[in-house]
Amino acid sequence: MISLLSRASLRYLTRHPAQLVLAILGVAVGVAVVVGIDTAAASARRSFELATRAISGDATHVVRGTPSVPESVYTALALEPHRPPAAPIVQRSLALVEPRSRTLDLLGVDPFAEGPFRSYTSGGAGFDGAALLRGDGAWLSAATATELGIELGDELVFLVGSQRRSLRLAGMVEPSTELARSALSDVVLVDIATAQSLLGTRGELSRIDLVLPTEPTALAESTARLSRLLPESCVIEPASRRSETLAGMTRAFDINLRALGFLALLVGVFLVYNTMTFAVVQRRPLWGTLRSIGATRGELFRRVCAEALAIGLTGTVLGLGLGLLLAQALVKLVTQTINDLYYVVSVRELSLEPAVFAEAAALGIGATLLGALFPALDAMRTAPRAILDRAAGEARLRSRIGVLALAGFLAAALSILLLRASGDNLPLGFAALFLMLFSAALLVPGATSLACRVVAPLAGLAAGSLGRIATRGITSHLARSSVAIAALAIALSATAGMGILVDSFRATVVKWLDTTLVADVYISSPSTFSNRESALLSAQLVERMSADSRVIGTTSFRDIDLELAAGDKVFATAAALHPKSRDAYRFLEGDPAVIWPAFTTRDTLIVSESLARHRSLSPGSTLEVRTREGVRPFEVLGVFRDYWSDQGWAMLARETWLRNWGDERISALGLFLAPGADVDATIASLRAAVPSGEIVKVRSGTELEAASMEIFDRTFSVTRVLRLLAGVVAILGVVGALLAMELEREREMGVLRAIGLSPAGLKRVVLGQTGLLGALAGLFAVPIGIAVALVLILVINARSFGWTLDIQISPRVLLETFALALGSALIAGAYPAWRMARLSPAQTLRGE
Amino acid sequence: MRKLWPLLFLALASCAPSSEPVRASLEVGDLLSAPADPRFTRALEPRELAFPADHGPHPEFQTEWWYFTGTLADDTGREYGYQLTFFRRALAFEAPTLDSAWSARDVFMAHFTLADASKDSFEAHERFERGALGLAGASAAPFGVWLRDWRLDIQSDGRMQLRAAEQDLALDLALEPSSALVLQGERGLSRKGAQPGNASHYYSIPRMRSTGTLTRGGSRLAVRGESWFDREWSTSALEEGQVGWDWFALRLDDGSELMLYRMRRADGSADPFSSGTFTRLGADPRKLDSDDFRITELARWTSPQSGASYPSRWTLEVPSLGLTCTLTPLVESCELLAAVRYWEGAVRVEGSRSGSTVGGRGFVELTGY
Repeated sequence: MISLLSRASLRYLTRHPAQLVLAILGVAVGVAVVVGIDTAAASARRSFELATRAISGDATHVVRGTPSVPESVYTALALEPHRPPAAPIVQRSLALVEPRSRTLDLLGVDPFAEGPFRSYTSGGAGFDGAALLRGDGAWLSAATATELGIELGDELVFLVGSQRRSLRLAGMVEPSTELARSALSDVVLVDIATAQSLLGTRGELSRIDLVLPTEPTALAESTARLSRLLPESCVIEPASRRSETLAGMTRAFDINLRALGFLALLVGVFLVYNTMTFAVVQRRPLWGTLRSIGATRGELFRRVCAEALAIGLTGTVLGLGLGLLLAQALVKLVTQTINDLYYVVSVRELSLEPAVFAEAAALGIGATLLGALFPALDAMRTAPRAILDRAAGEARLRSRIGVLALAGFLAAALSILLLRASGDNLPLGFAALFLMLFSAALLVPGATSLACRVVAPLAGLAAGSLGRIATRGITSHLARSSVAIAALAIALSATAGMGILVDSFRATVVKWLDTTLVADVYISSPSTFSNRESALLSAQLVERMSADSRVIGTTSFRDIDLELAAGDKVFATAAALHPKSRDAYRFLEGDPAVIWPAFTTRDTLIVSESLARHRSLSPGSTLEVRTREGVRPFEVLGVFRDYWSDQGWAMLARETWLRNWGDERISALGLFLAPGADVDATIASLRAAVPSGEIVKVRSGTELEAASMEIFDRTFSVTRVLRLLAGVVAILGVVGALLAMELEREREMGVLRAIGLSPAGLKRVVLGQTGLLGALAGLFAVPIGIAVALVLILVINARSFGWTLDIQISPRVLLETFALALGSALIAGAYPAWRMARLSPAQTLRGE
Repeated sequence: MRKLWPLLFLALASCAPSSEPVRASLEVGDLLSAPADPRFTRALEPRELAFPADHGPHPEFQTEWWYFTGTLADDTGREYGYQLTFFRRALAFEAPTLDSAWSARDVFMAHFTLADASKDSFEAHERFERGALGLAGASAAPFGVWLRDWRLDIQSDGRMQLRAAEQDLALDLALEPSSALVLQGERGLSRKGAQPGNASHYYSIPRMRSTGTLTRGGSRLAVRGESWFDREWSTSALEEGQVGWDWFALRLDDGSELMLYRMRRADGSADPFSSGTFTRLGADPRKLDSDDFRITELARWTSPQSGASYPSRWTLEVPSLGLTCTLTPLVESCELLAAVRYWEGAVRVEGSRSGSTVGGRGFVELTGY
């Protein structure tokens, strides 16, 4: 019996190759997207870990300070008789401008303190060792030097703040392990004196690396002893904390990416469901016959599952391979976004994690089986000698429409309940979103049948009996047509939802930039990375720029990291705001009339919406901040709207910064010009006044806005790609479903031909039918898409990033969605229409 | 005669990738290989030394060192050999002009070792620091040289204080000269090669009464003994063909002292610039040339760490002094796996001089093995 069943399966599948290939492709693309996204994200994470580890070496703990660690802390520590191994570090990401543009991590070390921490074996012909201590010597890994095309003695030009500064390649670092080699590929190693001198940070260290005992009591004792040597502005913390914090920043980003991957897979599941349903329905007579000659229900169930498994396995294997290719492309986009938004990382190679592949394989096969479950149950329940074939199935579905609709409403209610009850939990938010899509799918048969009832008379009016035939075709094959419509509607609504999210986001940011960028001219140092690690402007430059006769007011910013008493840090800006700049801040909480007077005079700050959300801050709450004088409470005065950073940031007055930290330098300057002053002419003359050797960006507010939007668009490029992929899966699914459906109806069409319908008329019927199907899917996709967008904007985005967005539903996105649905349906109908029109009625009816 | 710095060049020159120990020491070696700058003063002829000023630093020369070796005994009679040495080397004639307090012209290196004869154990520590930020330095008046908390202080009356501590080991010694200061070579000019300037200014105080405390693993022991102080400064290099040297500093119990060094050439022969000095309280130092003495190896010791094989027992003959003696290490395993790998340890002297039995203690340094 088994072999007979197997042969029946094989025969069926090979006779319907297009259907088979499309189902396999659907699973493959879904799995590929999951693998591609996970691998790209994992590779970025891994590269970051490697780079961090290469740089922190064997340090177990570090001393950090606000704003930096005074080097006297190190000398005090060095002279302690029983001090642990300690190494002073000066570190910063720098833009290399010559021989080519690239970001390198400048690592300033004291080679004599390095022994216990990092191992770089050096050597090579013409090696000039003393250069490390001589002032302009820099070390690169040999591989990096080769990539840059430079040799010993060649010049490396960096952009430090707004100035060009050069070093000479004095030697090559030869890391002993492959791991260290790839991790050190973005590091330029210099002596600590060179680093301080280059960066203009005399007397300051970025941190002190320590190797402390691992045994808890010894560790506690050692920490306590060292802490006594530290000024109030410094703390000892585990070396891994900073990288953990940074890695944690991308958590929401990662979850969003993965959810988008799942969405593609979900669409794939619909496709499998569709294929299997069709395969089962089409063979109903076969199941009946098999049952009547003794096949058990279990055997039929297993048979359908086995077929699905074969499709799932093939699709998954293919998908894993495709996923690797996809990861290659996605990793660039993911890395770019991480660099734009979070931290600097460069990925040299994909990190292939078995767990990712195992998970994707399980998902692919599991989803396929899930998709096959209902069709398999359906096959199992077939009565012996069920000659009534599909009509029975159709009748059953029609009787079930009400049940399905009820289930759909229940699922929708459940998803709303889940959204409300899940608090700030992001994965549960996505679960609710998927549940919502599922509920929509359950509602599709009912909605389709309802819609056809409305459309049929209209179609009849418009196209006579042909119109009615086309409409009836959909309702009479509801089991298959509703699945195809649901698959297309779900896939399109997901992409529409994402489109609405991006549009709303973009519109909100544009509007916000318009109100925020009020100064006429902005001056900042160019940095190759748009995260907040920005460089400082020289005092001379600031003075010259502010002194221009057309300048009537300024706003200045200093980007800083506030070290919290708890050990983590918060991005912050110390600002001296022009009244116009002040007015641009929109407070979600707090009263400007109360905020501004207290802002400059007391230890207070205002926080962005994201920060308020992440740390549950509101007016009246306090942040314990480490200042030069020790930990002090800073009162939160207000919460402002902001979209610079999803981590959020705090703003404090320049006066407050100077009072507590006393560092005069600034990182950006906004200039307000006298009424009537020509902005472009002023910018031109300001650019000419930039001291020689310095490089700064002097931009108008409009230019800055354009630059900001460019970054914004770049960070959404991943979303766009995924949206496209989900769309591709959907179209594959619909083309497959419609193709199968129409081909199955050849005989029906033969009857129509036999009773006098012309080939052209037949084409119109087929195309009209698929077109109607597509139009219905497009129609359903619009409200579902809006619901998806609302969940994405109000729930997912808020939980991930803490932003309030103005919802903007552009007709363009909705029209696009509808057009896509209609277009793909018509494409899917083209082949069957062409084929059927060519068939002679006799041929198609011969089977009778 | 302790030219560890130039040896760094040797280490570099012979950096075959397969020889792991040398490779391990490359890092710091690379850093210290400064090119010769003609502006550094070279030791060309004897000069009048003045004290305490000449105990202090001579920055116009590229390299100098303060070298203490000695044998100590605790109350129970257990015997120890110790070494505490400070080196200065200028990386450039002028300090780099950098806006950083870390910017430095000089690098300091120090070695601190202890050999415990009763336990047959040896422990060695090495430090490097730049002469900046008070991490390391040498000052003239009052004289001091230090690397973090390891330091040597010399008072105006010639008494000295040595302090060093690392992990569980600490040494705190007061030293008082009990012999005359000896000018080595030709009135303090010690030639190391044929080229003029390949020489150093070199003096020693062969006997310094040493008292203080030795702390090991938390227990403090009172110790006393004798130390040998060597002081040398130069801007010289090893000449071609010279691969290393054996250096002997012996304090005999008849009140005399003997310093000898043998420069070894690549072919295994002794360089003609090998020489020595014999001193005795109340008599003028007597210079010994390479053909005045003969050193015969009696045994060898192979380091389990580096695999290097060092001579470890010798017969020393100086016919003109009627001296024949054997030298036996208190502890055999006195190899320093430092930036430069060498052997330096205390030896027991047993033999006869002009017919009468003579004993004593000394120190031997072996490089280039």
